[in-house]
Amino acid sequence: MSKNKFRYILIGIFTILLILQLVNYDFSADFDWKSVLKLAAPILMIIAMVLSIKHVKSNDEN
Amino acid sequence: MIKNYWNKGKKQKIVTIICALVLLIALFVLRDDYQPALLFVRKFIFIILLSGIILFLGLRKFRKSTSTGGRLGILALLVVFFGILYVVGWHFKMYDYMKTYNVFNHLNRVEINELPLTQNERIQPLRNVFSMANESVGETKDVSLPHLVRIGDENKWTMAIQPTEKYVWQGMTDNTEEVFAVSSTTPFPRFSSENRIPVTFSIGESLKFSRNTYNAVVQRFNIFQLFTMEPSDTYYMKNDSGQWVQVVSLIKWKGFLFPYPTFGGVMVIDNGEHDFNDYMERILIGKGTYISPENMKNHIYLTRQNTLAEKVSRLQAESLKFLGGFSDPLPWNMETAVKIPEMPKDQNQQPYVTDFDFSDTETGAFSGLYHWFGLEPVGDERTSLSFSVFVPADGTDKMYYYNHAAKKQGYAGVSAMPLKVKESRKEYDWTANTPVEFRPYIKDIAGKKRMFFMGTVSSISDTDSKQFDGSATPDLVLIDSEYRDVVWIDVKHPSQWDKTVYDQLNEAWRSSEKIGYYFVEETKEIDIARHVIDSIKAIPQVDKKAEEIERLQKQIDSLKASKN
Repeated sequence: MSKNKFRYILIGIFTILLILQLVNYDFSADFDWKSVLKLAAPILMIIAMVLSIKHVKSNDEN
Repeated sequence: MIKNYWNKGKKQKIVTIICALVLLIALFVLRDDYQPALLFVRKFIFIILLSGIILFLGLRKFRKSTSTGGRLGILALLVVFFGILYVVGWHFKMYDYMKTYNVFNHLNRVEINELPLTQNERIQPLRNVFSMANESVGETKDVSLPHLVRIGDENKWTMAIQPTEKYVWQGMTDNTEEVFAVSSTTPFPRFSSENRIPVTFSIGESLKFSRNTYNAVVQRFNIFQLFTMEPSDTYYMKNDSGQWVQVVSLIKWKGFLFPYPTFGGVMVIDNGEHDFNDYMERILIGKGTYISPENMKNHIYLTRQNTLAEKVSRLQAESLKFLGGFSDPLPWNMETAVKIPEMPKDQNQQPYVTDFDFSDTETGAFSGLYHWFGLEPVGDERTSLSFSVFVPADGTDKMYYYNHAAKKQGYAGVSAMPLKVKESRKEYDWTANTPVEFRPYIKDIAGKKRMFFMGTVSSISDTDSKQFDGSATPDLVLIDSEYRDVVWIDVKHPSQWDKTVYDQLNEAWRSSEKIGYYFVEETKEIDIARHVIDSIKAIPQVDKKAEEIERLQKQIDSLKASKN
């Protein structure tokens, strides 16, 4: 846990950011790549953090 | 993580169960709030899946790759793929192109070779009606956007007088208490007395939370409808039992690769005040009765009605650009490519809801309200009328179109009209006034069907471009789309319009078309001093001898007849 403490904190921050972006997103508008990137960026960061935590756990390295 | 927490003890289990329950209830009750996100996934399902799969495979490959060069190569490939997807699909608008092509392929197109006549011409443009309605309400009220609907056999502009969106508290507590229903054919629209109808709707477009029309309708959707349906315009009309109802037009998204919108039926919301039971119903399962497009024929008031979302009819009309084939609207072809002309300022854009009479055509189409489009070639400088498109406003799965271009009629289109009107009266202050909303006026005059455009002169506010000020009796013009002549007509006497047009244009028509005289000049004298004659108290002179002779003659005749 201590090794991954900052990763968990980052997951929390990016989750809050994702929720804010989801609330603000104009879903009634057409598909807009620039706006979608606002959603995609925190999702990709959360995925990256989860994969990173898995890697640390399985390989016991930081 | 949750599993670890669950295994810690009894207290943690209770907390987990309570949290899950709260989440479930929130998901159920708040589905009107997140439904747009579900619909978004449905609308772009193919792009989302494609992007997701490519991203997943790319990242997996990236992680498995050991060399730095390999990883950089995969990243570059991903960037190139998404770059191409963006440039082709969105920058060059190929996604919309494919979507429109899908609409074209699934459209029930009927080409007509004879134009229908117009009837029940509406005099005021939509924005004028909206401005006049707003002049008739108080500070705490808003007027919903007017829609032209059929009430019985009459066409009326209907709109709700609802609590304003400016004051949130009234949106939460007050009801919609009145509805305007103003005849569209009268030169003198009034927003009072019998046109201001007291009717209570507990659900309205400007009301808040579960009392909002959009929210109530979405809550009523079933699980599949949540992913495919979208509430659109709201109309106010009378149902078959004479009660005022709110009819919400629904858009249904179809297709997988390039989903496209179609008419999805309507949701009908009854009037009346809500009690606690209604409140619970609203919160949990919404309000309204869903009527599918197939069942609409069972409700007389919804037939020949205006319930089709303009978003759908616009896309259907625009899809006619594919008549020349899939590749025809591409930039290097553009032979039959057409566009819906955009009118300047904040005018009401096409379609123009118009009442057509198809009875003397052989199309079998109903006579009533249609969404009319006058399509023009794509270039800005090209303003000829290529197609007249008639989309049944009640959502009937058909689209009628008349190909002016193929018939080489050379009619001028809607975008050419404003300048012609300005040119015809140079003394007007055209900086303050604008001729707006050129709707079709097709009449059988002097031996053939002639197409005109009817425009109304409106004053548009300098400070607020949405504020249109038309007087109750605005200036009206008719422009012959073939001869390009502008005829100013008297709004107060609709029965004389055809005659006025004939008077102005008959010589041009006769010399050009070699036709005879119509509207024969004969004056029929009505009510000329008859009361004066009647008032003379003259005693008729009676010839007594003549009466005696007549009596004797009758006797002689009867005697002669008896001898025979």
